[in-house]
Amino acid sequence: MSTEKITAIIVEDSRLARLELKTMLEAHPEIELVGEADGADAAEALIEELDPDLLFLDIHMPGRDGFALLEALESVPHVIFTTAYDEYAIKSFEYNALDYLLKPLKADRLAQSIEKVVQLHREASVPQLSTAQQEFLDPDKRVFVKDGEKCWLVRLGDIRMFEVYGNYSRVYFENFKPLILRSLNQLEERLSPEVFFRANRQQIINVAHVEKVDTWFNGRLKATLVGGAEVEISRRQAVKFKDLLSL
Amino acid sequence: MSEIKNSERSPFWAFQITGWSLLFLVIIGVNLYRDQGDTHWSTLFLSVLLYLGGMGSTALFRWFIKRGQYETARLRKVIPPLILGSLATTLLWSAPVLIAQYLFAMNEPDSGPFRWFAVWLTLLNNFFVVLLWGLLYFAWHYFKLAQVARIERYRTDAAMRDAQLNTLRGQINPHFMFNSLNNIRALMLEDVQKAREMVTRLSDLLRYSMTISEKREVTVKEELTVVHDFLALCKVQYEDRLQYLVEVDESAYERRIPPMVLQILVENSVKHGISALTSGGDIHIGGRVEQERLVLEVSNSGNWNAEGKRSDSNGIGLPNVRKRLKLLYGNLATFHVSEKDNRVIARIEIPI
Repeated sequence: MSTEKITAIIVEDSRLARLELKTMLEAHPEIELVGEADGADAAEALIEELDPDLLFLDIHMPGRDGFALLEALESVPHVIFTTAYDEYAIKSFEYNALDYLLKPLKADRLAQSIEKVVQLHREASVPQLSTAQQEFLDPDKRVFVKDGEKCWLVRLGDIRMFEVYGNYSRVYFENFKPLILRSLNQLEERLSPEVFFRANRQQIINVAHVEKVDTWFNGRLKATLVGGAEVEISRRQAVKFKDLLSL
Repeated sequence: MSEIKNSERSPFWAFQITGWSLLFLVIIGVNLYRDQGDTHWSTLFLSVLLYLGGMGSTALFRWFIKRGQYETARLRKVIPPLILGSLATTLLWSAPVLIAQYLFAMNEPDSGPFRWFAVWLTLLNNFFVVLLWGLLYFAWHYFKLAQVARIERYRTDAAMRDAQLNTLRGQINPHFMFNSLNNIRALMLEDVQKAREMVTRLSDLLRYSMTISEKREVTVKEELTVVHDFLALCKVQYEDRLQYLVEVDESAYERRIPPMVLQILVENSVKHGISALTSGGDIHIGGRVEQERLVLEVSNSGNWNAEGKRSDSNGIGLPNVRKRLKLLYGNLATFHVSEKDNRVIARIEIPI
């Protein structure tokens, strides 16, 4: 797995800036450039189609910007931002080690960033849950979450719980609970049922984060998550839950 | 200037009442002292008449001065109305007093005889008082004007400094500069000659923005040079997505404008009109002399409302233009942004 090349896409509105980056990437045979896009729309289609490992992403683009593109993606590959002068924008990622390069690009900084991605890629390439099916999102995939000024790239596996909030869903991870514009049903369809369990109408919980399970009234169950949150599992779901755990 | 006048309440009545009251007390005091406690009631009556008449007639004088706007007029133009106004005020003020004195003299012989000589003395005396009043009034206003002018000068200086900072920090914005450098780096791979040209243009642009802020005004031609440099560099970034046309009449070339004003408008057009649209757009720059006014127009494809929201975050450009035009030309220059047929048009008119 580790000898495999890392596939990458450049998303950048200026042709010359793409040329510049392409030229610099020639020094990095471990990166295989599979596509280029001159805007968020083209990029979104290309990412769906090619499922690249790495994105070189310009923040300022006509139409939707780099952040809007990430928000639209179901899962986000490794991202290296390229920007002329946007440190403040990148700083919103204070909770994630997210990489960015300043233009004009420097060869050694680029090499460092690529090295980091290679490292992460190798770690992630260790086979995961053997039962994980292609139609569901791998728990190692990351999602982009934006809440006001703050942004996160969260590994799905690190999310403890999703909770209904109108048309939105609240995402619980670490000490944060930002909102994303997806309904709980939409999420359920794409999340691996072995990892994410629909406890009741309001909540989906990550089984890996369940600390304790107690029996509750009327054949219901009460699950306590790491961090102390208590979730009721409806009677209908309780049977399934027991099955899931005994598996 | 009008802002300052309106925001401050005029101290006129405070001065007017205090001044005349002091004069009244002095007159009463002198009379009491002279008559040694045997003051006739007619003397007191005359003093009160003098007091109220003086205050009233000079208030009318002030109305006359204000109506003629002599407060802000040149000194030479002020002297005739000052003297004529003083004479008229003197007559207005003195007449009731003199009539009263005459009636007293007729009806009550013990209040003293009526003398024509005294009439002239009173008139002369009152004329000098009114003249002194007028001089004080104008002196106060000249003092205020000088103060306002000084504040205005400070404000202009501060705005110029702001503009300087903006030129370096906001206007030649770092985003543009670093993108240009990155593009030029790439351009070297495919067209060295063009890359060399762009380095020169970027240097010229930086030099202009660093040195120009010392000047109050530049010619349209000078400003156009930098606009051309800027657009050429943008063209490297946006390529086919940016089209532009500069149509400035030669008659406008030597007209003077504040530095970086046209440049800021063009930059704004690129920022909102071109870089926000995926399909790109075009910019038109027009300039001409129209009825003794220099008209500059920068328009770009796009919509104004969509931009309005956007400019909240980085709207240093347009307010800066507006402020500087206001400070340099007062209400004589105008600046409007409008939308017509899917084009946003920024228009500046400056008196020649």
